[in-house]
Amino acid sequence: MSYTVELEEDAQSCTIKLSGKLNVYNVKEFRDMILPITERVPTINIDLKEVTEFDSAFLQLFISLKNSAYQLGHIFKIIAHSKAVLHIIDVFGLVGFFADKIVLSSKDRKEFSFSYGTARVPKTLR
Amino acid sequence: MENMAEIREIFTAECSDILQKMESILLEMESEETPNQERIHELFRFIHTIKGSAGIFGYEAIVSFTHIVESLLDKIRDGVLPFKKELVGLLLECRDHITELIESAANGNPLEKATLKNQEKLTLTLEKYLGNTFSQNIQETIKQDIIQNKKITKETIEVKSSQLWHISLRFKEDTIRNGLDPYSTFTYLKKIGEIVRLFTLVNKVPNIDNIDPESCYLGFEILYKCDKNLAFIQDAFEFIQYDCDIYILSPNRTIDNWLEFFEYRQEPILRLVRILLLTKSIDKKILNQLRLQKKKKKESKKLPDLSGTYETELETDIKSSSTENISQDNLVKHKDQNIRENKSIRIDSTKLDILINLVGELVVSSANLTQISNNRKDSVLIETVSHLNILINDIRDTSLNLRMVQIGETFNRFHRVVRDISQELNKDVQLSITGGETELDKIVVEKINDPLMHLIRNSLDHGIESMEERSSKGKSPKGKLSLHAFHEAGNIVIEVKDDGRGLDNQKILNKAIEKGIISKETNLSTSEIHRLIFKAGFSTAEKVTSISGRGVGLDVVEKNIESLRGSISINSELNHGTVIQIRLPLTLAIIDGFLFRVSEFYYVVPLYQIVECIEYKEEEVSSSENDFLNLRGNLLPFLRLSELFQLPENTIQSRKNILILQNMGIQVGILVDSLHGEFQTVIKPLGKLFQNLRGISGTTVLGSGEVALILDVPLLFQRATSIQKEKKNKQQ
Repeated sequence: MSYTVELEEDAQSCTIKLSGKLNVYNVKEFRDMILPITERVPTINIDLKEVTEFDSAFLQLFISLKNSAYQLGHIFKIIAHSKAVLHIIDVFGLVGFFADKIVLSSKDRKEFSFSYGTARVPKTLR
Repeated sequence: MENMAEIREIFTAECSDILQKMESILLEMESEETPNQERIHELFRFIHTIKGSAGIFGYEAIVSFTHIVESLLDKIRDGVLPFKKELVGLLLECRDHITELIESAANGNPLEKATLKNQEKLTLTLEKYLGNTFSQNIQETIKQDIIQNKKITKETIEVKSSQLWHISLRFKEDTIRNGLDPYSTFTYLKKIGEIVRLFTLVNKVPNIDNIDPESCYLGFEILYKCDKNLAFIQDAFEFIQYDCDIYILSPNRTIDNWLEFFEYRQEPILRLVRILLLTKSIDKKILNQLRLQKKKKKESKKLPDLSGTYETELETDIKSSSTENISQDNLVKHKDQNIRENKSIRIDSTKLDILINLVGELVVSSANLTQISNNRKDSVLIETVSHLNILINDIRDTSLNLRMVQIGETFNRFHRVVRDISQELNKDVQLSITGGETELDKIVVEKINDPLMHLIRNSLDHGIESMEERSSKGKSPKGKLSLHAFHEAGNIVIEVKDDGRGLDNQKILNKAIEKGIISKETNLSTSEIHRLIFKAGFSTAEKVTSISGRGVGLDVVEKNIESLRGSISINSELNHGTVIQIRLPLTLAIIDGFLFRVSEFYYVVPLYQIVECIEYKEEEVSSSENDFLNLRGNLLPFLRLSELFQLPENTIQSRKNILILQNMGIQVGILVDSLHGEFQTVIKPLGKLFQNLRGISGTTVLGSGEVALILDVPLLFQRATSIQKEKKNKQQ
């Protein structure tokens, strides 16, 4: 398998650590895995620190997860990003949409522009 | 996700088409005295397309290399670099290198060391011409390009600064499933310009319980800064144009253009306006104009209610977006470029195979139907069925035609081969091609390539003499090699002709005796001697070169041709040249056949090989051991199939017939029991078990469900002659 999942779950929250390649080849599998979790717990934290590949299909799934959580008043958070993840979020201008805390060293910061899409997205445009 | 591979295939197929065209253009340029400017433009476009497509697939190695080649062509095009003949050679090498890069990218293999070294060498040479140090990193080179552009356009920088395009994209559901990722499009956009603002429309993305994660629901509004023209930007979307609804607004868009855009998108305008404010594609000035427009046409529902509750929100949006100057003069609107004329479509060849197979089945069952209708003796039914048969015949011909391709493309490839080899051998050879428009089955074309290559190499190496030798013989120092194709009675004939030294009968005989292929006593005719060169292990070249002369070859060529149910013949005159003719059937699937019966078995012979049918009369047969027939004063040898195939004699004494067959100018008769007439024959190849069966080339199913064997006429002829010889030997 090209990616691995580690789960840590209690009654209130679930932390999912993903690593490897996340792309259209496994997006369906991941969605089927996470769907029951979204129904079980109100808070989902995703750790993407070890993700080496992240494509539009996965990003789109995360958009769906974020919006679904938003509508239910649940929490969907990316607690750690890898560069692969940040690059696509940067280009798609979705930093403000996800509104997650991003930790970057000043050296790595230069790789990204963060020139747009960093402000919070108005509710009407979600 | 099998589509991914399919798209990659399209990419490689398209690239190889382009590279093929590039090659022929370059070769033409080489032969021309003054270079045609149009050709350089064409080359530039080709390289640019490859670069663009490779960029979309993320093939960095191809992008960075083609970029350098593109720069070189750009300089030639602009006249900065004068065009020299030597550049053609370099560009040919670059073309070959790109071919290798694409191959390795398509197969997913890493580049070989030799390829990398070659790339280094080519890059260095290219850099010399460019007078510029290009680093391997594409991003840097592109940046450099932009800087250079800026330097050149310093005076016009005012105009350039407003080159802000607005691009609106709505991806279709199948985009990702088709193996395309919007992200790679943006990575490419970033390389040729700057994404100033980008807004991802996420409102179409369903909730997690409804989402099909492999579908694409995304849309984008992009403010894009790029000094290139519209066509250049459109090129970036070339690969996604069918998977994406693309709307590009030029830097000098006006309020009318926006209105057209809003109408085209058919989305809530207020939303769009708010997004466009966020991407800074429109500013307060345009917003006010929009309001004015709205007041003018109160009845029109095109415009949103921009007053009221949203008013304040909009104001804040405007405040947050800086006031960038977007010129609003002139109007150039460009809708997506889906409307592109495509004269041909690409189809997976397996789909065609399935079609041909189905047509084959159709033909078989129509034969069945014909038989039934004939038995019923119902005239209305017979009429309907015969009409149906005409239609089926048409369908058969049309679908077989689908697989027909012109042989010219295959021929043209040899321009390069001839050029390279003759350079290597230090010979001057001119290749002329005629009959390139002759069509034949795609499979045959593919399989004929290698044998042809072999024959051409042979002609170049052994046939055509060195320049000195030619001059001393009083020939023009420039050797002539010609490829010619034409149709002849259901066959296609391909001719490879050279004006070289021809075959030396004595030399061949000596060699054959030396190699033990024939014995000293054997008496052979000229054509039999010529045929010896097709024997395994035969090579008369005194020195073995890298090109030919290793004794493996012509026998393989002959085997390959035979496997296509074709034949090869050779005709040569010492010191004047050699002509090799390859004869191939037009198609491998369905033929018009002639059905007859020997003993209790059915046989089919291709109709075009039949000259006539005559009645067999015992008294006309010459009485000797060999079977000969007096045909209008000529002796005609004939075969008794029942003897040949050791079939039981037909007990019912019916009138027998002789079928006269023709193959390569020789006529031979075969004795058969009953004739059943024309029959559409769907050829089913023989199974593995019977592959070595001589004299039978395949089988077919009759309307009644019985099996008929298809006779392999050339082999039958060979066999007949060998049987005759055996008989002769026995007599002696």
